[in-house]
Amino acid sequence: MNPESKTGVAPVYVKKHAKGATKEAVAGYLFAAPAIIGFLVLTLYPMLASLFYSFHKITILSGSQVMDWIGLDNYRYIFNNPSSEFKKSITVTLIYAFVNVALVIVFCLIVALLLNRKFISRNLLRAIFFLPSVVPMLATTIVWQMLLQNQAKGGLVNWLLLQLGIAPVEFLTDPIRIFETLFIMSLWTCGGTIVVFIATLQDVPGELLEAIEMDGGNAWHKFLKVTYPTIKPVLFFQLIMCMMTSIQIYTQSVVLSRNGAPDRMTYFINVMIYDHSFVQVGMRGLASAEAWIVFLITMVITGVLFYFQGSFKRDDSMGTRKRVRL
Amino acid sequence: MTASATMKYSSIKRAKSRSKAIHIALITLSCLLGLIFAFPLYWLLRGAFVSHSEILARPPVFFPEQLNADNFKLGLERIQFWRQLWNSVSIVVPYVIGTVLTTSFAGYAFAKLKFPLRGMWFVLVISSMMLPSAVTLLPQFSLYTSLGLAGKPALIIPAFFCAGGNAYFVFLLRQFFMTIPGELSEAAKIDGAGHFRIYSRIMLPLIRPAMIVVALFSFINCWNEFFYTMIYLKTEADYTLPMGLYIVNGMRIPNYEQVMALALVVTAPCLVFFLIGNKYFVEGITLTGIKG
Repeated sequence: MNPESKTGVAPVYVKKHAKGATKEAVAGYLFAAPAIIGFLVLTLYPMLASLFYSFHKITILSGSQVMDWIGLDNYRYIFNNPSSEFKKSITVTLIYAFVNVALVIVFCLIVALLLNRKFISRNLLRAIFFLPSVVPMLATTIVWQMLLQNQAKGGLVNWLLLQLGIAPVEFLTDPIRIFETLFIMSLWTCGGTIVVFIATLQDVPGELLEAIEMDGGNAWHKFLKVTYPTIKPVLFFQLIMCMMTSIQIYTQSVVLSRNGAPDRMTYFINVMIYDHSFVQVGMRGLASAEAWIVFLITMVITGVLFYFQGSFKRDDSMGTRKRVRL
Repeated sequence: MTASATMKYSSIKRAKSRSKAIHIALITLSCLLGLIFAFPLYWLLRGAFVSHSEILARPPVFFPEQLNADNFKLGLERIQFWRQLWNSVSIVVPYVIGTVLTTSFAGYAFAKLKFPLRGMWFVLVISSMMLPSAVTLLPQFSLYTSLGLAGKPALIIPAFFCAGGNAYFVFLLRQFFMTIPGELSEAAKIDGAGHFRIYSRIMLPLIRPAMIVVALFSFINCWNEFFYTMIYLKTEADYTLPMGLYIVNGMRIPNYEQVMALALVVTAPCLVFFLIGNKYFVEGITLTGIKG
């Protein structure tokens, strides 16, 4: 039966080994089954189904979905019809996401570098920076709303500005200033990323930093030549994950206003898709098309980010090595 | 010779005192930033305890005259508190159990067991965390509706299938399992232990700290969940506590102090779990570069 069974001792070993391998493969699939089934049923199937949905007009008749094939009409509507809400929504979402990612990454890196110095109460400070990130976004938004609102309504920040002789700022009703509010909240809750960066900074080789100091390099050289290459993989991972969460911003918008006020500037993609899916009637096909466009856009963004990470990495690591030998 | 040596010495000394000054300045800066970070939490606490006349008073009241516990009583009366607390708990508990069980199964399989297409499945499962949730939203909703599960179950089921962002934890636990040396399980295998026995008797005790991290993060994720609860919970009797708070906040009632008291109640479990698990949080993040 077995091609190897001609030799004397081997068959027993081979057979037993093969049996063990099969057993291990079965066990592997059993252990991974929830994850694999979850991927197939709760991720892959819904993804393809929503692509299918996006070519239909979906109406609900006596509780069940009725689907009519309309080809690319939903996509045509999104791109050509002036009353489509998609363009404004994706624009404000992407502007928010890009600026937010840049702010969060730079801010977290600076705070992590600050907290990486040795001093008493450092651990207490780290805990303080992390704490807000466990607060529910809902509560976060309510507190900041309270702090930032018009000073006549009791906003503390505006009261402070007034005391300092600075003109109060309409953080919640000005269509541009509202973004400042969102960024402030986002920075306040980014403690997780700070902790990740602090942890990664422990891997930065101290000898290299000293070597650069000997060469007469300043803090900026140290960061560029040693710190940055070391933390780069983690930095990019955080960047990508931050991009994903930023694009899916939802809670802040609906707590501040239910309709994307002021001037639909906070009518983000997820808010719009929620409305089209569950509030307005007969727009589920459209919502699916919108979701698929968002999906493609995020794929392009993450693809570009991965590309940059790969190509930069090689150059930098070579650069450092050269520098160290000097 | 001596002159240049002294010169060098004094320049080093100067450089040292300058870097010390920078050091102190930076520490002061971090402490100031820390104060700014802590302040909104204090403001939440204050808001929950001040009286109605104090909350919007000018100049602002930083320390309330007396602690006003009535805010909690009146705030909780605005929602179906016990009912919604029960809803939250009855979703969170099975959610955390499901997460811990299935993500550790998958983490173990992807780290320690060899099976065909293992690499492919791992990449696919992990890639689901880079997916915008909107793209799976409607078909999932239809699926749950057709199975009669479009309610609480729809919020719990993903936890039992490593879905809904739990791919994070599969990755985290896989990293942990990889650090356990293969000799341990080899020895157990020779003693005739099956794979499940190896998992439960040898692996689990070793990755306990990581499991605690996963439990803590999944508690916080589930407790704070808002997008999906908005979709699947339709009546006030089904709402979770955060949704109760959302409704009260949306009414724009003039009694901010009651909203603050409610917000504090909703936040409290997260703060308590943070204080209990602080060490594990930091450890978990440190080991993986991943946050919940």
